[in-house]
Formats: sequence, C-alpha cells, structure tokens
Amino acid sequence: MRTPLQLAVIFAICLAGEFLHRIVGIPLPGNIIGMVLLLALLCLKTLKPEQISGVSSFFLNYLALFFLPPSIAIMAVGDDVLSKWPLLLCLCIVFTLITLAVSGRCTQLFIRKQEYRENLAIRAERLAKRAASSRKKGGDK
Amino acid sequence: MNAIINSPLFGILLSLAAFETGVAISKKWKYSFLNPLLIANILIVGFLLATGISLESYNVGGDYISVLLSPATVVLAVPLYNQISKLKKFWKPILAGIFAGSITSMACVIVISKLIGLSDVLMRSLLPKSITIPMGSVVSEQIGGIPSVTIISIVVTGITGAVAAPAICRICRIKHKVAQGIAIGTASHALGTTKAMEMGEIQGAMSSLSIGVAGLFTAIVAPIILNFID
Repeated sequence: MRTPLQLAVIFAICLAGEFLHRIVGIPLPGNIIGMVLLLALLCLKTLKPEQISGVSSFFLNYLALFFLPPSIAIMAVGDDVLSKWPLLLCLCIVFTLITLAVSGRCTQLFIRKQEYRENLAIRAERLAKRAASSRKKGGDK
Repeated sequence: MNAIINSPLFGILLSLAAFETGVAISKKWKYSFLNPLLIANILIVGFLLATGISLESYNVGGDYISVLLSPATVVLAVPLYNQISKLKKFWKPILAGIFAGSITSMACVIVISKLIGLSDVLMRSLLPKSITIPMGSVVSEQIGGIPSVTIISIVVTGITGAVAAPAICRICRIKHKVAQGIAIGTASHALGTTKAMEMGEIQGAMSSLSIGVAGLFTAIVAPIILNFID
C-alpha cells in the first residue's frame, strides 16, 4: 500500500475507535478500542502487517516523540503537586520494584506448575509405552 | 515576534529539536536514566521558562504532534500480533502474571495514597503509571487524573524498571525467561522492554506482549476499582 493509503487506514481505525467510545458508549478510550480493532483485522487476515508496515514502523520507531507535547503540560500543574515531587518520585520507584517482583514470581510459579504437570503427563505416557512394549515382548517369548 | 512564536511550526520545531537532542544524548552516554523523553521534556520546559514563552504558544504547534498519539497507540497492535503465537503456549501463566502485576501496581497506589493522605486527583494520576504512555495518558484523563503527571510518573516507572530489572530478577530468583519478560513489561512498559530486549530475545518478545495486555487490563479495571472504593 502507498503511504497515504496506509495513513488513511490507520486514521480511519482511530476514528472508528473514537466513534465506538463517544457515540456507541463503550467505556474504553477510543485509541485502545482502535488498537483492538486493528488487532482483530490482523487476526482475521483482512489486513496483513506488511501492508501497513511503512506507517506502523514510523510510529513505533519514534513513539516517544508523540508523548513529548502532552508531557510538557507538567509546567501547568499546581504548586501542591510540585511541592510533593520527591515523595511522588520515591513512591513511583518503590511501587515499580514491588510490581516487578510480584509479576515475575507469579508468572514463574504458574509456569513451573504447568511444566510439572506436562512432565508428569510425559512420564506417564512413557511408562505406559514401556509397559505395553514389555508386555508385547513377553508375548513374543 | 509574537507571530513567529504563535506559528504552529514553532512548537513543532522545538519538539523535534529537543527530541533529537535527547536521543543524541542518550545514545552518547548509555545510562538508563538518560531517557530521551525525559531529557527533551527538561530542555523544552527549561527553554519556555527561560524565555517566558507561554505553554499556550508552545501548544499551538505541540497539539499537532499530540494528535498523532492516537494512531501511535493503534499501531501497537502490530507487535502484539507478531507475538501472538508465543502467547499460545504459556497463556495461562502469562495472563496470571500480568494480572497479578497490574493489580499489585494499582493496589500499591491506592493503599499508600490513602495511608499517607495523598490527594484524590494525585492518586488517580498515579494509578495508570505502569502502562504505556499512549494508554496511560488517556486512562488518566478518563478517571479524572492529570495526564501530564501521569506521563512523568510513567517515565520514572519505566526508567526504574529498565535500571532495576536484572537486580530484581536475581534477588527474587526469577529465572524463567518468559517470567522475566512478563515482569518487565507489566511493571515498566515500553521503556523497560528496551532492557528486556538486551537480556534476550524471549524476554523482549514477552515484555512487548505484556505492554498491550497490561495496558488493556488496566484500562478496563482502573475505572471499576475506582467506582468500588468511592
């Protein structure tokens, strides 16, 4: 697809997301609905990732640039927020460390459980096979 | 002079110049805390304060770039789609880990905010701090937070995750590569993912997968939790 057409497709999906949020009333931000819509189009093979690769890689490569103007609004926050910035900084750091630990341990716990169960299944299968083959050998004699 | 400052090109040029400077600095000295977005933010705020140019004048151009935040979020579906086959094998542990991490992040914010008496609007601004910026800023707006505070807290969270992830994995004995990736992506979104990519291909893929899932989960759950505690 030519770049203007790729842009048109992406913008149309954005507007569809906004439409579903504002007019239909789905309680999710429009751009997140748009992301789900695009994911659905990709999964249904209506759209191939290569067809929009030019525009998608542009946005993904320079993602941080698009956050820059909204982040400048930090200038306009009230003094009550500014006076608390060391506290807010500490909170952000501590919460992140806790989240990292909990999320990682939890995933690992469930993976170990799944692997343990799979290993049991494989072992049981192997035992059953061995039992079957030995019975067969016994029969041959 | 006012005509020049109030031209949309002024804000756009300032943003592009500051962003490229930020990228150049972070490439030159490879410390994780030298985040391009953080540097560019400090440069622009410093410039505006020093010259006395108002935020409104900057935003005449800045808003043109902000509009593109929406398509930038939508295309996050592409990396998510590329990882979808990897999701299939471990989908139960992955979802469990992402949900546990997202809930932990939000619970920490709510409980500590209530304990130390942080204002309601600050609590709401910090709530979506573990998810990626395009999602976090709109979630913040939707639940009544201040998007700019959310964005800064998201950047701080991301930098913390990128710097501390290897140490936390070692201390908490998180050895499985999938679990490491999920932890980093859930706690510190795209900024942490850059570190996960360095740690390995599996960690990177899993981390970028959890950005989208954690973001979606937080976007859905945050308003519900807030309704519940009100």
